[in-house]
Amino acid sequence: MSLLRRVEIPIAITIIFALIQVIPYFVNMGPAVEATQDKVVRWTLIVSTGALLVGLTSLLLIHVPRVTRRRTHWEYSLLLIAFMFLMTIIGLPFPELNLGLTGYWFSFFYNNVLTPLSASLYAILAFYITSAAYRAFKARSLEAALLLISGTILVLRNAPLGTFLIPQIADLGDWIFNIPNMAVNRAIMIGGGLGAMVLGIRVLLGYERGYLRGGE
Amino acid sequence: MSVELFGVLLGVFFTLAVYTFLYRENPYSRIAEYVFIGAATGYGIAYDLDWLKNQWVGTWSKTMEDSILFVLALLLAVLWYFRFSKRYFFLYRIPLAITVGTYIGLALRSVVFAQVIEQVRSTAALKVVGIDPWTAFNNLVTMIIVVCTLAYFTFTVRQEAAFWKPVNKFARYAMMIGFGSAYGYTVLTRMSLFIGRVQFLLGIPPNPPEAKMFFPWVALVLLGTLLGYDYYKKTKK
Repeated sequence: MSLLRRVEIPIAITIIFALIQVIPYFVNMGPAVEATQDKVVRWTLIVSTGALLVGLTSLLLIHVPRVTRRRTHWEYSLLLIAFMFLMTIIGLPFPELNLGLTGYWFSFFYNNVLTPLSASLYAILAFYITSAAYRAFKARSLEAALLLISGTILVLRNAPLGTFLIPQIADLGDWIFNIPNMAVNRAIMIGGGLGAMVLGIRVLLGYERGYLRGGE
Repeated sequence: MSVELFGVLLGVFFTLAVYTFLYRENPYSRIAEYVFIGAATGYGIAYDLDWLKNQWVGTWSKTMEDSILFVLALLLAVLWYFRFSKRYFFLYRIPLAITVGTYIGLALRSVVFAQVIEQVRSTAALKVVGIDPWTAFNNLVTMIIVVCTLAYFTFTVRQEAAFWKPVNKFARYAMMIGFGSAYGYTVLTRMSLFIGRVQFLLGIPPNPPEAKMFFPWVALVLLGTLLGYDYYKKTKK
């Protein structure tokens, strides 16, 4: 048992599974190896589906005690649990019982509960980022002024009123978005890519162990 | 009231319940938040189970070897649950290691080409001579910004020499312009989502026209109860 507890075992598994993906990509090993590689990816996806059920368990571990012990806001926790089970049950893949993703009730709750809620929650951020910008975007320095100006130009460029009042703003907005914005994003992408490569190599060499932390 | 009408009423209620948060945090906004988390988790699980079933039917049930691999994968998926056990936590590390290993391998494949080589190649391939002056200017600006921004984030050398100062300053200015434009774009994206919700409340096609009928009444009920509750609390004090 103590051998199984050793952290070297998961590190070895990580390295093996990473190399299965990396080596055949850079070295031509024939179609049979490539097919195995694809199969391993699909097999890993099946293994990783268990993680979502862990999410369900985590939520239950937080909200069930809240309901049973009648803690503050327990009524909302009950609602959360009810909707979680409702969506899970009506989404079970049994089309012969009118259940599943294409079933009537699943579509009903998806269209009338989940879609309005997710769209409204994402849209409400418009108010918060606007109010945050009002507080943060003050031209105290040249950098802040540039941030404010380019932000304002892009807002005006994308709002119909902006291009109606100042037609030239469309070209300027497009130029800012396609040239400086694209160039900055490209540099950040290269930097992020280099960082991801280094992280990958560190994991392959067994130096990066943060993801294995926890337990006794 | 038909089921379809009730569905529209639910949509109107949840949309307005989210927006009551702009007034302050209240029971309606909390109902919306908790229902969203519950429904989204349930949707994720249902989607997951459906995908698993399709995998089994379409791919893994064809041969005995594949069936054994599928069952093995499911058994390994169960090991995720040892996340909650301190004693058997080491078992949780096995599916985690498989997932992390595969995704690190996939990332190393895609990142090297898509995020590094392709980006460097497209920047290096930009022409500044033999083309029209405006394109040449744009290409030059792109190249300078990419190089300066990359130099700004280079921490392996101490940036003490005199030439680093203007390079870093220019990179900062370029990044501010880039971040500002990204911000402007994000605001408008969120605004267009908000316009979509308003169109739903007003029953503008392709949204169901019945929403227009429910909108004022639901809004009145929510507003009335919220203000009434606040007034009650104030007078009680």
